[in-house]
Amino acid sequence: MKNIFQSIIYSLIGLSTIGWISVLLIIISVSDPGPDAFIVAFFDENIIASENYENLGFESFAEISTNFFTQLFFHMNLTLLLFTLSMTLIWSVASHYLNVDAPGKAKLYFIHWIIFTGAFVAILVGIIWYFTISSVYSTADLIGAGGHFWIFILSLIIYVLSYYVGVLVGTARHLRSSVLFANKLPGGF
Amino acid sequence: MKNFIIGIGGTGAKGLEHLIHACSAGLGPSNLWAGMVDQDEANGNVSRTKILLNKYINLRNSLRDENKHDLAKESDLFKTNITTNNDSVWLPLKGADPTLEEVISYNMLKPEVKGLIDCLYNPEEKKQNLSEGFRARPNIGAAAMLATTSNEDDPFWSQIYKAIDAARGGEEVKVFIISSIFGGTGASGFPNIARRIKQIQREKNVTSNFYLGGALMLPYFNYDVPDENMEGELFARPEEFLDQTKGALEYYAKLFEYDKIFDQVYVTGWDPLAKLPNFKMGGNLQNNPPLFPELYAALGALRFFNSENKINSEQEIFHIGKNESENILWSDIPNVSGSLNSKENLSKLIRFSFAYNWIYGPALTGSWSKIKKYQNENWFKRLVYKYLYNSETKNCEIGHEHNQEIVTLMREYSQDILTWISDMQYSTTVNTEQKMELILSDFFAEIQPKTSSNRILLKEKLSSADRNQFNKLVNDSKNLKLLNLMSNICYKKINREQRGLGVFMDILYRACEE
Amino acid sequence: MKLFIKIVGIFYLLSFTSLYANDECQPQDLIINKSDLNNEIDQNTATDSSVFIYFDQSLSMQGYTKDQSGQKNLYINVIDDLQQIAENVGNKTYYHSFGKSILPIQENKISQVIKPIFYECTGSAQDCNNQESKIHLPFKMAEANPDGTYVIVTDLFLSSKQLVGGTLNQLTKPLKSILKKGKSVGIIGVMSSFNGTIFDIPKREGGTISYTEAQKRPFFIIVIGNQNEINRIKKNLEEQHFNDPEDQYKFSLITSTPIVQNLTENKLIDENSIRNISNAEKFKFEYLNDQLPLFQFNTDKKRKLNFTIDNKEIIVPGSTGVSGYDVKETLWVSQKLKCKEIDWRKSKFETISQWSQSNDSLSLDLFKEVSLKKLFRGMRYFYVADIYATKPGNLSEEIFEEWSIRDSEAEEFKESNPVEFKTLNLTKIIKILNSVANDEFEPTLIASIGLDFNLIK
Repeated sequence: MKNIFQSIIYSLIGLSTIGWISVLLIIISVSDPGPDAFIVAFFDENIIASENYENLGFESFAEISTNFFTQLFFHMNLTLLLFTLSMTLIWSVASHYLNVDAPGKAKLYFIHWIIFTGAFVAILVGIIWYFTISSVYSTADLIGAGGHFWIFILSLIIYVLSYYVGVLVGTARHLRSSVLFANKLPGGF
Repeated sequence: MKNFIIGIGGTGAKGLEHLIHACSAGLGPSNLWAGMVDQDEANGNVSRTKILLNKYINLRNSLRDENKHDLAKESDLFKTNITTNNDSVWLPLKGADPTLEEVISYNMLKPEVKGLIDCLYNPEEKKQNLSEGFRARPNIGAAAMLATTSNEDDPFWSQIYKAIDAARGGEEVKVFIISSIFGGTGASGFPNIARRIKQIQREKNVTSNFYLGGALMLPYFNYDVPDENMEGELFARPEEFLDQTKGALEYYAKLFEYDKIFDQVYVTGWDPLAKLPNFKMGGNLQNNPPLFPELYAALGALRFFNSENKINSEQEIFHIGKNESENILWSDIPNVSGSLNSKENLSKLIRFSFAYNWIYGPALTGSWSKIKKYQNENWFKRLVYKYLYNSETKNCEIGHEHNQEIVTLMREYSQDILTWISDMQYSTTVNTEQKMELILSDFFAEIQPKTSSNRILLKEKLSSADRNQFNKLVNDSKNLKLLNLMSNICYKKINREQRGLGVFMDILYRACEE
Repeated sequence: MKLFIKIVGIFYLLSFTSLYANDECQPQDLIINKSDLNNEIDQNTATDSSVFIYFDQSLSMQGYTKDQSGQKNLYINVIDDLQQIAENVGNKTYYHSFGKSILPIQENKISQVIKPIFYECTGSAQDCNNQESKIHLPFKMAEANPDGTYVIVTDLFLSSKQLVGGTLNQLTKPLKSILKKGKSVGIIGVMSSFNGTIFDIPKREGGTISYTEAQKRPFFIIVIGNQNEINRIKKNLEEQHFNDPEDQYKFSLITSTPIVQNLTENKLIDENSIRNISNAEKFKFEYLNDQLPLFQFNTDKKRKLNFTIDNKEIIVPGSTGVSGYDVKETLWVSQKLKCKEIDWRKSKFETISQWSQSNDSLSLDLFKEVSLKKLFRGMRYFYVADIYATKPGNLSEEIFEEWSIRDSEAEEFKESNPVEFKTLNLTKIIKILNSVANDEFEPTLIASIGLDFNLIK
């Protein structure tokens, strides 16, 4: 049990090395960034299809950004963060129960990790799709084709990296050979 | 504190065998001198114990070397520093084919003395070849031993003399004798060696710091004697054991009433008697399996040696027994002391032996090119690679010959432990109505009852189904799986004082507790 | 307890009322356009109800007055009743003949119109009125007194030279004036028996020839006046004389206003005007300020909106019809859905929907150009479309095509000894009349609709 708690703490630390970006985005978006915020300008330039709202008579994205950030963006990042956190902790905890009962067996679980990670990425993509492409959130209409691409890429980078660092350091020691490059960690870590 | 243990006869040797295993589990004192007394030089049990003793000493010396491989002081594994003479067995009567007549120089005796001898011993007894023991004739053995125990220069007896000197010097000395009350060497040796030691103590005027203990084995086994080819032969007849025991007990009762020879005596027997399959008169064919009551004797000895054991001025006699049912349980094994739990240590040792023999030993065996596939695994990295890495050659030296010797030696020792416990469990209860299920051995060992030397045959390799039964290896409430073991060896804290292979061995041993 | 129930009931009623209170929150800059159609129609009500009838006295007309065996003589029947019909239209009826000039016909001589003698002239060619048909003369009269209703009975057999240059101008100038004043010209063509000579059939090399073998040929009743009167005359004729299925008659209306009405102003637009809209979520239909039909609903992006107008409701029957429409559209959008918070923004979209036309209907595919998919969900939209008829059609030309023959083909046609003779340059005449009418055509608002919808998931 002590080892599992240790794994959980390491996972959380690993996650937070990159996951802080997500927390920051959540805080910014839930508090409605406002027209002068950098994130609004960034979204206006790179994510939002400006011709769509300009044709409708809005002068800038800032005029219609409130719902976008306080609902879509906030909900999406919160969901992604919680999901990433859950998957990281699930792997870290489960790694203590996978049947590595002899030398040489740990690397066989690389396949399990790959499948688990693949499922994680697939669900991550699904979550992003749910928020930004499906019809659930109306403010998703503001996102242009290029914007979708950037949201997918940036979200995947942030959350997959967070997950990876989390599992890298949180995986049970005896199962480190199953996680890419985790066996490079010092033996006593 | 100095501790000495003497195993007299076959029973003594077997008791010593159990004691050595118990010491490898950390139940023994910090140091112990061990010796055996048996006229039957080639006795199978004595030989077996001799070999085991040598293995223990070699392994311990290899793994308690501060410069190379060190388990460090805190490790329970091979905790006791057991020493012995070059030859750990003392033969009361040396020479080729000695007889009683020769020992007592019968031909040179006065006629009246001769007459006395003739009354006490029949012609067969006087002419019996004593090279294979005293054939359950304690009267012969007693006479032979009394004639030869006073030689201070004898390597065996010099240890006793030194022990008593050390006691006189203020150091606490404990001597313990294990023997059977029946039979030949043991029956004759136990009281006579004890009295001789006491005599030396008194001669040296040692009145304190010297303690003598003993484990007296009442009859605990039986065997069938074949009718053919036994005409005229002297041999131990099991039907005589009880009579002998009765007589001996009367003797000891009187002796203890008259003289405080022992400070503590541990008496044990067994009912029903264990049925041994083979009868051998002596020699290397007399290779009886380890039996449970002998463990009592060994644990009694370790209890005696333990620092928590307070020895009174009055002689104490302890009886050891098991629960009244037919099942022999772990709870029937007494603790050595309040802080030393016999069952826990022994079960740890058994698990360690299993894991080392089939799982980790094979992984560490071979050249570096074979072993290096584990170099990225955490257990190997933190326990082996780091501590066997040569920064000059920039190589891990696990594949080097001297390290491989230790790896192999440990594997053999592990096999000895597994064989010992499996044999003890089987042989104690076979053909009786008793049941002993201290461990589950079916999945890793085969019983070959007809073979005396290889009664227990360990499997070369285990299937994954076999390995999955590891959690049932020891019949206790702990559900320790190989997975838990692997996890433990990756997480257990390493003692900073440990070195080399001592790190891995100790961690693996400690990982075998939950 | 009773008091408690009363209070609860009142509370419930109030909340119910407020829940369903009228949601009046249209854009501030919303302008509801109106058409001039009814005014024009009002203006078209004649103050003078005199009817002027002109009979073509040219010799070619004589053949209508003689029966042809085996053929039905509709000329005699129609002309016989024309007097009655005309007197139903106006208070006074004046009869004239025209040829080289217009000559009044005494009342007691009217009955001679259906007799051969009416078309004979014993005097010199110079003095006779039956040598030619100056059809522009009645038109001139109509131009001079636009309030009356003018009926011209003629065979409309005009050569090309009569349809060019100054001669044409003599016809088109008064016609322009007539049309400008909101009058229309109805042409009723009737296929009747003929037993006589058709003169002035042009030859290829020049000159003219005549033909006597025709047993049937069409005559025309041209009515100049208000559309109502023209339709009334047409209807009377239909009811009284064109009952047999074999009776061949054609009708064309030359008008600068082929639009019957503005559907919005006449409240002919209802919730079924847009297909399958009434099953939309929170659907409501009303006339905003009693002027603009407003469809209120919630929708998702998948909905197809199609506004359909039956041609019969907007196009004057027999007229040239309309071949071109223009839709003036405006779209407003608001982030806030509730009236209290609403903040309309006018979009920059100019073309949002697409119209298409079939023989029977005009269809406006709403949000075809700017699809609903391009709009943002979670917002409220206010859309107004004004549909204008901008270009008249050319339907009437096709109506008379089968009765028409060109100058260049006339001789050859004659040599084929046809039983049923065609009218020279009939299509050309219709075309000329149409083009004059089309020049006077002004874009007319035929319908306006409004959509007020929330775009939901």
